[in-house]
Amino acid sequence: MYGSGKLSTNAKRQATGFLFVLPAFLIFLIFLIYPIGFTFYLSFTKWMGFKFSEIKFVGLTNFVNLFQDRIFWRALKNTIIYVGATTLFLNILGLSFALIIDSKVRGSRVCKVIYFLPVVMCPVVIGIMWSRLLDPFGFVNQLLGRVGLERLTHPWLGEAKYALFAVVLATVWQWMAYDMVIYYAGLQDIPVELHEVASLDGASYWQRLRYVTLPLLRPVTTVIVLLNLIGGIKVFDIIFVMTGGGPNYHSEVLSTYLYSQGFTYNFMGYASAIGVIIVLLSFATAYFRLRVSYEAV
Amino acid sequence: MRSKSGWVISLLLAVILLAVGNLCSAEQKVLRFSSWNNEGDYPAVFEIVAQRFEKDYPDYKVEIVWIPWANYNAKTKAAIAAGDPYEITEVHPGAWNYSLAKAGVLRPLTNEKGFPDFYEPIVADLTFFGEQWTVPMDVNNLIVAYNKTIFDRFGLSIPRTQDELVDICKKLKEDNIYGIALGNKNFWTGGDVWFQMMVYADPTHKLVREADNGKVSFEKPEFVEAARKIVELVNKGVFVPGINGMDYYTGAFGFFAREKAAMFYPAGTWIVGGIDRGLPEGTEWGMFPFPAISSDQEPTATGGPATNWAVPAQANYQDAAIELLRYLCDDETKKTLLKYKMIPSSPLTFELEIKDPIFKAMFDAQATAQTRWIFHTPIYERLTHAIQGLIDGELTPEQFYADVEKVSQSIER
Repeated sequence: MYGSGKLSTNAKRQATGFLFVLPAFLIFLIFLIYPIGFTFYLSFTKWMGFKFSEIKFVGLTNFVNLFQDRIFWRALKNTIIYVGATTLFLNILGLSFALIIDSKVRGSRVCKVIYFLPVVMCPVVIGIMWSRLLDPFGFVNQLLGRVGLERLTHPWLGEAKYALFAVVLATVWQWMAYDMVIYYAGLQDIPVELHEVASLDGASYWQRLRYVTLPLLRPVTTVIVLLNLIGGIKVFDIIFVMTGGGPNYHSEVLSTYLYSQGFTYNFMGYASAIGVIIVLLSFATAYFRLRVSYEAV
Repeated sequence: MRSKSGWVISLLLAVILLAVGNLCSAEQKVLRFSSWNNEGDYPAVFEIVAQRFEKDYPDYKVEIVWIPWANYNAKTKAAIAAGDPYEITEVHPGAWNYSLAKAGVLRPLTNEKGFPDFYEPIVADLTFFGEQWTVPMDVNNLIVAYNKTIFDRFGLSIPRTQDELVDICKKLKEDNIYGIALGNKNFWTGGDVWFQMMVYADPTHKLVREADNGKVSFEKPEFVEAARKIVELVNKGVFVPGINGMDYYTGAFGFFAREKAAMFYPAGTWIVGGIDRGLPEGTEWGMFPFPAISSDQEPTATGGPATNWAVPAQANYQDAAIELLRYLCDDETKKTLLKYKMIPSSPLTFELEIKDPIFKAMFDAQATAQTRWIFHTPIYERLTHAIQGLIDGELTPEQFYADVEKVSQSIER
């Protein structure tokens, strides 16, 4: 059969499968692998982003400068805070609302739809909306003033200690229902009989939640937390719109810093170095998260 | 059969017409004219210039391409990097202009004939590495817009010094009206306050450029004085509280338009139409230069190119593009600009009496307007961001300048 030059049935099947996968693979190669690879290469160069002939190899200079750049460290710190805060609140609120909806209280189906509306809105629109709400003279401060809490009013987006958390608030408001829906789907997979047995054994609601629901939700939690972590690391649009990274870099994150270095100031090599850090951080986060899950099992 | 052949004939005719149409349009060369200034009266001005040009050069078509400001920089650079830049590209003066010139992607215009003699300080702001890279169509000076109706109600007159400004703001606050609305969420407005203070702190008007070029330190006493004045104005309640969290248009300008603040800064020709439309009907308003630090100084505005135009080095039809730039700066366009209350970028060669007091104030301020540009982007970026820290009280003037000076010393010039 080999000598005849004809492919075996198995080889033909494999070739057919490969041909079906080829278009997607090419897209993956062109739009993901190549840009990542080129960014990695650019991180070792100095380039203003116009002519390829002017790319100059500078070795590790960009990374050395990056690690001496206090704004980079602030952006990294802000990214970690943002990722941690959003992941925590998204999961707590997402699970809480999923449990409420799963309890089938009156109106829960309608609430499910209403809560999900922000998820389908563009983050830029969400950012603009929250910017208006949190304006020094916006709805939030006006409401606080009207109920006698004027001392709690602040220029939320313009004050160093609040700016980043204002963005966290807007993010959680938008994406909470996304986690809710995934948790809700996970709750449907838990056999009802397990709850019934636990109830018969005298377990309270909180005990059932702790010893039945949460352990069985672990695979779902792993996925959601991972999505939240990765999503948080690469956040850009909502911060760009709401604060621009200000005031004085107090809400600057790695993506916004990358944008300003690469696209505002033409330091493409330096921006690429930041991009490499973002990719490495994402890989490390994913690896760590998955490892923690496997060890728990 | 008959209907089938009818369809075939119709299809053939459509294809022929399309081909002929394409052929005809292929003969007309397109000059793409990119800008972010689709507000106010700029669209009308650009259309008039384009029509004039097309009438004189019928084999060219001018296509005005609007790109929102937020995307403009990135899109322009992407177009240049892709080898297909817009034939006439609006370029923001200052650091951006400098960086494009440094990258060698703009065609130098120094030796191009047929342009008027632009105002000298303007040319100085557009010249780097011994060449002029762009031409300005019009110029701006940044002054304070004020609600004259509110001022009259309180019996207030235009302040000439910052002490007078502070007193005015105190009086206004008694009636829950704020002083100056300034939206510094976008960074550049705080930068403009800094340039304005430098006009008064440095009577030579040279230190900004010298520090920008690394010839003097940002920690000189004149710079520290300017930063101290900003902090003083903030602490004395001249500005609306929370300016770091307020953006320029929807925040600060909206505040002024709703008459919650009696003044608005910085205001230039780009916002005049908006103020006319935004304030309640019957409200009178005016403009004045930002008050001086002391009474022996003449209130002086900052200013510079308003719209600024380049021909990229790789653009198509460069000679035609440069000719279009000449149309942007000629006497006919000057008359159009004046009709729309914009300030031409070169002295007038014809007599003109300006009756509108607001426009007259802006026109007169142009003669002495000082620079508001830093050419080196890392310095400009650090300065405008750190000013938020200065306003917030996070940074002292000394810390502010130490930070900026560190960046200044780290960059290649």
